[in-house]
Formats: sequence, structure tokens, C-alpha cells
Amino acid sequence: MNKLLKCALKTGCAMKRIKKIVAFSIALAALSIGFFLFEEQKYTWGSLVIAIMACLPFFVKYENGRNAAEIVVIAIMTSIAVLGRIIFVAVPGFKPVTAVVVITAMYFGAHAGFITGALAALVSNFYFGQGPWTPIQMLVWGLIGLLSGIIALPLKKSLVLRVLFGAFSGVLYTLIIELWTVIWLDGYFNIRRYLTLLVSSGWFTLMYLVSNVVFLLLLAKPIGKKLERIITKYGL
Amino acid sequence: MREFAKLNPAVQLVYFLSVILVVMFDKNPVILLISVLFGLLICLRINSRVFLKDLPILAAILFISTISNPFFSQNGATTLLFINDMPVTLESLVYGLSVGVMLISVISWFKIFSFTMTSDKIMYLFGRYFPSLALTVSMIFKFIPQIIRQAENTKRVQQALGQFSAKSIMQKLKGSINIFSIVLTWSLENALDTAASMKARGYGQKNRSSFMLYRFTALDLITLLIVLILDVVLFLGIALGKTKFDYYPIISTVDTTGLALAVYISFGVLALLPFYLDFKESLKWKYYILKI
Repeated sequence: MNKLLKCALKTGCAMKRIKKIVAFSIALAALSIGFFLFEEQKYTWGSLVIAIMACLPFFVKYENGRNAAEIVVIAIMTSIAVLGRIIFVAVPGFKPVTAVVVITAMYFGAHAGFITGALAALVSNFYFGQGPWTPIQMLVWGLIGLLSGIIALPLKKSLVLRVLFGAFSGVLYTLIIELWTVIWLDGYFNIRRYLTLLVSSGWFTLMYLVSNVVFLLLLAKPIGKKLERIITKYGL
Repeated sequence: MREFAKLNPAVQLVYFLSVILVVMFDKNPVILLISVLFGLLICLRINSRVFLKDLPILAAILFISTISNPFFSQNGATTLLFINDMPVTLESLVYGLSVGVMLISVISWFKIFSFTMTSDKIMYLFGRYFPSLALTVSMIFKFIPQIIRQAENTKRVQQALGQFSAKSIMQKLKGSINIFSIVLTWSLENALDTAASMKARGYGQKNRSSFMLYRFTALDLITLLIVLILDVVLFLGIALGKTKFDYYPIISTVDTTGLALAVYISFGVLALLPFYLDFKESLKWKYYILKI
């Protein structure tokens, strides 16, 4: 209580609190307006609003950081992820994007991982086509980055864990994206369509899984060595 | 579309948000028909070659979506036939068709969106609120071609040094990995030099302004007002349930009373809005030609 009072007295802190409350009310308003307007599609609307709102805290934190070195490193790693998606365009599902996001998170932390993942989705969709799926992709790739940043130390140490995590993130990606597709198309969780979609996209899932593992095995050590060198050299 | 693309990006964003929200979330057949027809029409005008190339894919989406839906949903009152004891209902087929039309419509409208709202316009809109993110994204757009160019240069140097002369795949792969490694180091070093330079020039300091290219003209205001007025009618009608349409268990009839009609008309006018601006310009052009 005392802490709250002290906080309220300081204007800067109060402003932050007000901003948080305003952001929260905007989110609630957006959710309820959508529920009211598009009754049959309320879950699609809700999931999109929540996906965007879930990305916002990370973006706001990124704004408050304002570190030039962090910005350029994230920009380079995201460019490499996007380039990977462009170079391997002919091989469906076989993409180094997740691996690059995981490696970035391993060396620069969970927050940088989230930003790299989310931006990789956003920017690569400028080349491959934006759609209603963009916010969902941003959130999923961001979360994969966040997760791998949280378990960065064990990931660096254990090769087995890296392989397992690569496979896991490939499956996670399909599970969430297809879940959202079903809710969008039917307006509710149509389990038959979900299972059919999972089976019909089974090849893609397998390719995601294999490519994540292969690229993590190939790239984790060499890129990691370079990133570590950069971190030491520039004192990041 | 050319004149529309010249408007202030904020107006364009409001326009696309209104159209795409309705296209994505409303399954009323009249709304679907309007959105898909006008969406495809604008796509055709933007680039007819790409449109014709995409047409078979769109037709396939429509076909698969229609015939596959009975597998996902056995709802519906009118059973047409049984496949392995699985009822195929008319309602289910029609719902599949409507989903297919919706998908085509969303794809077309997002194409129009990407064509008009280029990344620099999105940067302009959100850069004010997320300056670091906007900077990062614009750096990425600069780095991608830069990295490709550097990779090509590196490859040429390596060839001159006698690498890549071996024909075996393993050797080639080794060479490619080598180039990747060289380019990665170069990019990181180069980028961190940029960071040092940015810091030296006062990046992240307060009271820095940024350059804005777009103005808010009278035409922007008029267009925005028209879009907002149409939006009020459109979303009021949707909120009052005038476009509500059920596919299960029986396909309901389309509401054609006063307000529902107004909703369809305002959506049609909204969807074709980019055309009027072009039309106005071409009229002007003809008028000037006549004067000569």
C-alpha cells in the first residue's frame, strides 16, 4: 500500500500507471466491440485482438530500451531469418527461420528472441503475402523465441535438448496455426476439420520439424561462436 | 487505385480496416458476393497478368472448400446423399462454398492492401508510436539486399582465389557455408559500426524529430468523412443483426428490408471507393484534352 502511495505521488510513475490502464481499457473495448459486432466470429476476433495485445508489452519494452547495438543485432538476425525463408522458397516447409530465431534468443535473451521472431514473421510476410494470419504468426514465432531465451543455458549446453526443442517448436507452430485456421473458418472449434487439417499438413509439419533440427544442428555452433565473439568484442 | 494510393496513409488504413473487417467476419451471402466481385475486379485492374495466373489457384480453393465441407460438418436439414453412412447435406455444401468465397475475397483484399499500403506507409503510420521498431524494420529492409550483394561479392572473390573450381556437391556446399560464415561476420561487424555511429550522432536522445512525407489535404478529409459515414451505416446494420445469416440447420433467406439494403449499398460503395478517385482523374484528363 505504502509503495502504491509513493508511486502515485511520483508523476512519472503515475503516468505509466495511467498509460497501462488506458491500454488495458482499449483492449477490453476492442474485445467487447468485436464480440458485439461479429457474434458468430467472436473467437476469431478475440484471438486476433489477444495476439496483438500479447505482442504489445514486448514492443513497448523494446521502445523503452533504445539501445542502438541491440537494435542492429536484432535487425541483422531478422534479416538472416527472412533471407532464409526467401532462399528456401522452392522447398515447402523447409525453412531456417525458427532455427535462426532460437539461436538469437540463446545468445541475446528471451526478449530479443521474441522481437526477432515477431519481426521475422511480419517482414517476411511483406514478401510472401500479409493476411489475417500475420498477428498469429508473429505471436507464435515470438513465443518460440521467448521460450528458447528462457531455457537458453540448457539449450547451449545440451545438443539433445536443442534437437528436441527444434522438433517441439515445429509441431507447436502447426498446432497453433491450424487451430486458428479452424476457428476462423468455422467460428468454433470444429475438431473434425482440425484433425483433417493436421493430417493434410502432416508433410509440412514434418518438414518444419526436420528443418528446425537440421538447421539448429548446422548453425547453432558456428553462428553461436560469431555471436559470442561480437558480444565480447563490443561488450554487449 | 493510383489516385487512392496517393492519399494520406491514415485514410487508406481506415479504409482497409473497414473493408477487411467486414470481409473477414461477415458471412452474409450478399456481402460475400459484393466483396469477392469487387475485390477480384480491383485485382484485375492492378495487374491482369498476375490475376490470370492466380485464377486457377483461387478456383481450386473454392472447389476444395465446397466439396470437403461435408466431411467436417454433417449439420443441415436437406440430405442430398450418403457416402459410407455419412450424410452430405445441401447446407453443408453451401457453407463450404461460402467459406471458399470468403477465403478468395480475403486473399484478394489483402493483395490490394499489400499493393497500396507499402511498407514505407506502414512505417509512417506506426513509426511515431514505435520508433525503435520502425527503425529496426527499415534496417531489415535495407540489410536484406545488402547481405545478398555482399554474398555475391564474396563469392566472386572466392572464385578468383580458386575456390568453387571443384564440381562435387560436397565441395560446393562447403563453399556456400564458407560464404555464409564470411557474410555473417561482415554483417554483424558492419551493423555494430552503424550502431556506434548512431550513438555518436545522438540516437535515443530526447527531442529528436523525424521527417514526414505525407500531408493531410482537403481530399483526404473528404475521403475520410465518406469512409466514416459509410462505416457508421455498415457497422450499425451489422450490430443490429441485419446481415445475420444462418447456414445451419436451414439456409435462411437474405434480409432485403430498408436497413439491410442500406448496409449492402454502403458496403458496395465503400468497396469501389478507390475507383471513383481514378474515375475523377480520368474525367479531368479527358476534359483537358477536349479543351486543347
